[in-house]
This record gives sequence, structure tokens and C-alpha cells, in this order.
Amino acid sequence: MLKIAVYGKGGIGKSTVTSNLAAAFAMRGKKVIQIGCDPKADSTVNLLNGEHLMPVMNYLQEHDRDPEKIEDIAKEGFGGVLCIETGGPTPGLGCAGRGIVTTFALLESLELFEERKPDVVLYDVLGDVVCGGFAAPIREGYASKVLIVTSGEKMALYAAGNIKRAVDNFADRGYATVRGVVMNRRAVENEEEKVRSFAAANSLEIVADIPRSNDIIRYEDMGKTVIEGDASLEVSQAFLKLADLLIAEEEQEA
Amino acid sequence: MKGFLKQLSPFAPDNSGVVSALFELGGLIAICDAGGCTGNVCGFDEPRWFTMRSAVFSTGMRDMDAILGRDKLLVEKIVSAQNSVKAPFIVLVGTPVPAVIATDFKALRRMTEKQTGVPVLTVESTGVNYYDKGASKAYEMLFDTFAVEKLPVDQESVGVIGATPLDFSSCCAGRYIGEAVKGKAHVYGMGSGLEEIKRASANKINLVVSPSGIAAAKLLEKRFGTPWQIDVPYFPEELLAALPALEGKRVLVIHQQFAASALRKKLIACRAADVAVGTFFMTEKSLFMAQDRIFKEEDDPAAAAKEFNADVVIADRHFKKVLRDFKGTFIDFPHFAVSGRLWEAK
Repeated sequence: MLKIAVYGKGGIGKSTVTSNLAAAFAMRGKKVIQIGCDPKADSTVNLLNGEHLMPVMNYLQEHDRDPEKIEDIAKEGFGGVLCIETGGPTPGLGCAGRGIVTTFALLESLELFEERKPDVVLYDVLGDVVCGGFAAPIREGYASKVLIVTSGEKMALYAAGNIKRAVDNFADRGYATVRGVVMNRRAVENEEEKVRSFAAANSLEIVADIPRSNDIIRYEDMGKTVIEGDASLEVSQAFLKLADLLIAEEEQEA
Repeated sequence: MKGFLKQLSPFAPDNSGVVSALFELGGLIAICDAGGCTGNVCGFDEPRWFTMRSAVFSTGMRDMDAILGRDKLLVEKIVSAQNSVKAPFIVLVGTPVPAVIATDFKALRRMTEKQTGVPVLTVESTGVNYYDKGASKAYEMLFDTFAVEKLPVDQESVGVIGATPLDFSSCCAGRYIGEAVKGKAHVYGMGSGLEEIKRASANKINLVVSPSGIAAAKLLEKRFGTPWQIDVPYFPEELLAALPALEGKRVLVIHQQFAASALRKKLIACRAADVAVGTFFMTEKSLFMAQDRIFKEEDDPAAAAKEFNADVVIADRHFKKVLRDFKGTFIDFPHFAVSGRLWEAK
């Protein structure tokens, strides 16, 4: 089972990258689960035709008891991708990181992986590794590979560096390792050069180069990923290429 | 307000259940707390603390340790304690603070095992569940870790899983249960130690004496094919002496479900008219009868007694507080997880 956590600065396009990657895996015939780990709970919206899914935290608050089955907190989207959102507290209250851990424990008790037997699990994680809860997706038993999404913007690269250092610090804990950088182009001057320089300085590989594309916005306005919208587009092909690379690696490792 | 106890004192929490299951096994037990949970566990929920030695430590977590997530400091403290205790294994027990800050116990296990070279068990108790859930996790982890070798079955050997003073209300319960079982009984955690746990595959059968023993019994069945059955072979003599007088009575028994259900059989044998079981704790579906009740609130026992039209209630005497409108006969059946040393002190 391929388990990947996607990290990166807030607003850099993690949910776009994750849901397109999920759709790309699905296009390749893989059984995919995407878990949005963000209180905003909008990670999977473009796999669900623009529909918002009830987050696990909302379910728990509303029902005051654990869900009895996966279907209570999950919905199938494009290509059969099973979508789950952890959700979180009202901004400024409670503990969002703890919400992620609670959701994971709940998914474990519902035997999500045993029951669904996914080929790929994608965790779309909030902005940065700000506390223990946000490192939960890369703890032992969860994601084994981390993708860092960044553009050539200074703050995005700064956040990417922080994420790399945080993951490296966890080496003695048996956590995931960083597989590489997804360059999500934002029309920054000398963008490729800046990202390549960052990657080289941190001994990281750029595993995907996502071109700047208005098609992403166009299809997101329709509640779709570009993969669903038009798989032949250059930007769609970039996601499919990344999916192929990760699938090939997984097969090789197996 | 759901779950709010106005009359009853809080029941023993899951971290107490973990310690109770492991207390006699010679491991280094490190409770990951500031000190208060360890104080409660040892001072209130573990009667053996006053008569028997066991290496139970508090990790002495301070607020900055929690804020900064100083796991390495925690591991250093445990390694330091282990250097003097030299225990065959280490147990890390969760409490509310690690639960709230989402401490990664798997990572702690990995780090501690690497530095000490002995097996480390991590039980993620939270302090918000009851004792039986903690004991259940502890038994399961214990047998999963140590009962690994398949040995020839000894036809006389009987394992007893789930016995703690929290349920059996006596430090000597292990001996009493052992004497009541036919064959060579190994009452795990109350008289039988780590070596017997390692030899668990030799048991012909496992007796499960409380709901906290079920998960471990199922694990041993899956791993070695050892059958298991629910049975509680020991009850206090005064309680048994009171049963014949209950012929024709409607009896509500409030306790952990396996003890209450086993008592039901004895009551029926004494020609009680009908018996209902009520419990605040874990239940097994196969024992549950239509008239039985799972309690959530402290008003529930009184409601159950009324609904069942009970002539007699058998329960820990602490429950009398919430049965004030009950006019029938009350018989004491101590449950240490409910009343602790409250009556002993008085």
C-alpha cells in the first residue's frame, strides 16, 4: 500500500495537488483513499463535484458518539476515491492537531484499511508541521513518504525547508521520509532555478513539475480536478506522470 | 449533564486498570503524568501498593515538557530509572496530558527500546475511560508481546485472564480464584508472573473472569488455538451465604458483567424468581439478556431497580447512595473499582 502525506505552505496548492494525484491514481485503476487533515475540510471538494463532506469532527460533535461504519463519515468521489475530512474546531478554539489524531484512531477502530484494502492512501495536511497532531500523518503505520509542495516564492520555500527539517528530526522515531518536491509553478521570476536550488541544497528530488494553468481554476469552479475535466491537458499529464512514478517505485519496492 | 456524577465518586480510570493488570509482573511501569495520576493509581486504586513492591514511577511531566514535546527527556528519565531497576520489560502508561497533546507512544517505544534493549509496552490509556478498558489493552499487549512460543498443551493447565483487585476487591483474589479452579490454574497478574505468561500456549483452556480479559483470550485463541470460556469461580463467602434466602425474589445485580452474570446463575440455582444485570462497564453480547441494562448515568441504577421491580439489589454499597428510593433488600458485593478504600477507611 502506497501511503503519502502532502505538506507545504498554506495556500500553496496542497489540496489541488493531492486531489489531482488521487484522481490520477484512480485513472490508473488504483483504489484510493484521500484524507483531508485540515480544519477547513475542503481537501476533497473537487473530487466530490464541489460538494462538501461532513468532517469527522463535525460528526462526533453532532452525534456525541463514534460512527458505526465508514460510510457515516466518508463518501466516494471521482474514480471511486474514498474521501474523508478530519475537520476541526472553530478557529481559535480547541486543538486541531488533536482532532487529526482522534480521527486516525477512529479510522483504525473502524478498520478502514483492512476493510477497504486501498492501493493508495493520500493525506492532505494543513500548512506546516506546527504540533504533534500535524505530524500524525507521518507517524509509524501511516504515510511512509512525504511530498512537499512548493512554488518559487520565498515563503513557500522557507516553509518547505522547515517541513524537511521537521521530518529529518523524526528519523529515530520511525517516521516517514521526504520523497521529493512537487514544484507547483506560480509564475514567479526564475521560479525553476529557485526551486532547483532549494532542492539541491536539501538533497531533494523534484518529482513533479506542475505548470501554471488556468484550467485548474476553471475545473475547480466546476467542482472537478483537471484530471476529471480533461486528462489530456499538459497539467493533467504532469499529475499522471507523478502517479506513474510513484506506482513504479512502489512496485519496485514490493 | 451527561456522565456527571453527583453522588458517586469517580470510578477507577483506564490508567489504573493498566497498572492493576501489570502490577505483579516485575516490569518498570512509567506513568506519563505530572504526578497526580500516579498518586491516584497507587494511593487509591491499587491496594497491593501497601503490601507488595512494584516499580511504578511517574515521569514527572512539567508544563514545559508538554508544551515543547520533550520526548527525549522522558526517554532519558526512563532509561535512568531502568539502569537502577533493571526490569525485564518497561511499560509506558498514558494519562490525560499525553492524550491531549497526542503523544506518539509508538515513537516513544521505539526510542526507549533502542536505548534500554528490553521490550517496551505502550498502553495509550487516556484517563477518560474506565479501568476495564485500560486493563484490557494491557492484557492484550502483554500476551501479544510475551506469549509467542508454541508449547505442547498441558491437559491440566488452565489460564485465568482478567483478575485484578479492582474487580475482585481483594489482594488475595488470585489465590482464591486459583483454589476454585479445577486443574493447575495460572491467575495472570495475581500470583502468576511473566514466565507463566510466556508459557500461556501450554494452557488447555483460558478462563476469562472479567470483560478486560476477552481481547487477550481471543488473541491466544487466534495465535495458539487455545479455547476460552467466561467463568467467575470465586465470590466472597458472605455473599454466597446470602443467596439461599433470595428464593422467589427478583434480584438486580450491579457489578462487572461477568461477575454479575455468574452470580445470576447461582441465584437462579437458588430459585430466585428472576435476575437482571446492570453495569457501568464493558459488556459481552453473549451474556446480555433482555432485562439487563448498561448504565451511563448515576440515576440509571435506581431506574433499573424500579423498572425491573426488584426486591433485592446486590451491588457495591457505594451504590446505596443512588438507590435512595429503593425500599427492598440491599446486599453488599464489593467492587473496588467503584468504591476503592472508601469503606475500609471508615
